[in-house]
Amino acid sequence: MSDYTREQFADEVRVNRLNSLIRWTLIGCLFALFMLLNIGLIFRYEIVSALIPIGIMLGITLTANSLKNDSPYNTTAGFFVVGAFVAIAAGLWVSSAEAALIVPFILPVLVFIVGTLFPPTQAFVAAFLAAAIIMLVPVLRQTGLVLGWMNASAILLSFVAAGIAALVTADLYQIAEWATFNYARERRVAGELFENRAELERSLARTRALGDRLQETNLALDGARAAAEEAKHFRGQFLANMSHELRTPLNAIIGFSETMLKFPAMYDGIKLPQTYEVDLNQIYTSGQELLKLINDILDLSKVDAGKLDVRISAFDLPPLIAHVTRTANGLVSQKPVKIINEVPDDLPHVIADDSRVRQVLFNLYSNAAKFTEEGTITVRAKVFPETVEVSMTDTGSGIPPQFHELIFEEFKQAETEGRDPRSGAGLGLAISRQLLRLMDGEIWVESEPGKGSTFTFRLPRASVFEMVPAMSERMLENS
Amino acid sequence: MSAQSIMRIMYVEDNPANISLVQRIARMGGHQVISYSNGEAALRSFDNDNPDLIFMDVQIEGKLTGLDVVRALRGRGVSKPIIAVTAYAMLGDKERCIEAGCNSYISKPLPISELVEMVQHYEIELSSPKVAK
Repeated sequence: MSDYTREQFADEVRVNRLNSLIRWTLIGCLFALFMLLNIGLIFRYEIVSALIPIGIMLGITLTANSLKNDSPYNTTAGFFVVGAFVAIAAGLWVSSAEAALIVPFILPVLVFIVGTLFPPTQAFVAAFLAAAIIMLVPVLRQTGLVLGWMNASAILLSFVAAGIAALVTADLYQIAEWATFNYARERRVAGELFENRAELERSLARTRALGDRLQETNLALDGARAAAEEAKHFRGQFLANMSHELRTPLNAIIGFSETMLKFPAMYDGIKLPQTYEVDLNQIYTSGQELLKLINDILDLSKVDAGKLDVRISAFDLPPLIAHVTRTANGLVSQKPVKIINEVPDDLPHVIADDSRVRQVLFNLYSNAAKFTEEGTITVRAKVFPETVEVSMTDTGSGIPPQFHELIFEEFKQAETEGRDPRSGAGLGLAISRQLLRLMDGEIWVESEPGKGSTFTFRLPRASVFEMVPAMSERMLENS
Repeated sequence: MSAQSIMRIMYVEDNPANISLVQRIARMGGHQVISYSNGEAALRSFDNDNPDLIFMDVQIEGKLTGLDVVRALRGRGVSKPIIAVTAYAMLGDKERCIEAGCNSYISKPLPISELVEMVQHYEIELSSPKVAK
């Protein structure tokens, strides 16, 4: 699309004007011809002289009409205007003395037309031409210079017409300017809109491409997740199978050492010699430790498979702690270590799985006993509005701060000097943390090397409703 | 033990070490242990053996599981006490065993003291006609 100037716009307006002018002139000429012929035939006037200018005008108009399609505007308009002047001049030439007074008054109209067809200055040129015709034709006809007031008014009117035409054309130019300005602005806005739309489409395409990529990534991610889950599942399955395979021979080791140690009646009442008993006890406790480790692995495999179950009910902590503490005394029987139970008897009920809490507590006792060579292991409890916290403080080797989180991870242990290298895989704390989290609890440690450690676990308190253990147990089973 | 009687204990189990262990435990009361490694053999010989107490391992050789055997025995109208023995200490196992018709449930590794108590319990029950079924 080429740029559209105000001149082009004005030309277009003028072309339309010229076309209608030619059309109306044609109609006017034909009408005049018709009237003239009628008048001539009815009143027998001398019409030949009047036919000349009308004929010329008709010819000019017809020529202009045929010109307008193939020639530039200026050629057509110029031809038409000059032709019109010639026709009027011819009319003036052939007219009678009375008619010669009227005919000049056609010229201001023509001047006005010139003004509307050409730029304003041309109207004044036409006005001068009109004045020349009015003054010169009579001179050339040798009828003498008749410069009466009629002729003077015609000349004056021509100039007035030129002035009016100039004003009108100036308006036309102004309107054209305004229109082209608006047009340009609209074009610019439209262009911007078009560009915006293109940009929008590009953005849309980019977004769509990104969306596609996101979907692909998601698919890949789903695949990876599925693979990871599968791997986890296989790991869990493997650990479960392995622990089963390991437990079967362990059954015999633990079972027979137990029968030999505790039930002489099964051996026809023959008691084991003292020296055998000590070693067999070693086999029995090692077997128990191995079993515990295997059970821990099984528990972790269940965590992996999301199958570690806890049975939540409300229960009383102090008897449980007392019971585990009695068992734990056996862990330190060979060391100058004293276990002190400072847990009050009147703790509020907690809501948890009692067997799992027992497991956690025993894990803590095992660790404390393992890492305390002399001193005390003290268990305490503290009541909070929503929870109960049980803590176990030992006078053992302590744990450097950088290991405080690490020890709760699988198969990790804060292995530093002063620690027993035979101290196991350290699964107890990892399982304890998993178990406590399953029971809406938490476990953490506060410790400094050389100053002992305090392990604390937190359990939610039972609400009044849950204080009736049997009832809540039944409800949980039903749910 | 005021009332002492010798029991015939059937143990369906495919692990010889466990069989020996139960034999060792049974020896305390002088009881006899008859063992089978699969359910089909146990079912075939059941009437002939006529045991007083049955220990049934859940995972055994052959097509039948321990619980299938229990169901078959209960289907025959056998009312003798049956104790399920499972390797996995899993939640839900106990319910499954009781549903199949077992009187009780123990999980491996075999708890010696518990087994001893259990054997003695059924020994008393057997010798006292009031409680015997």
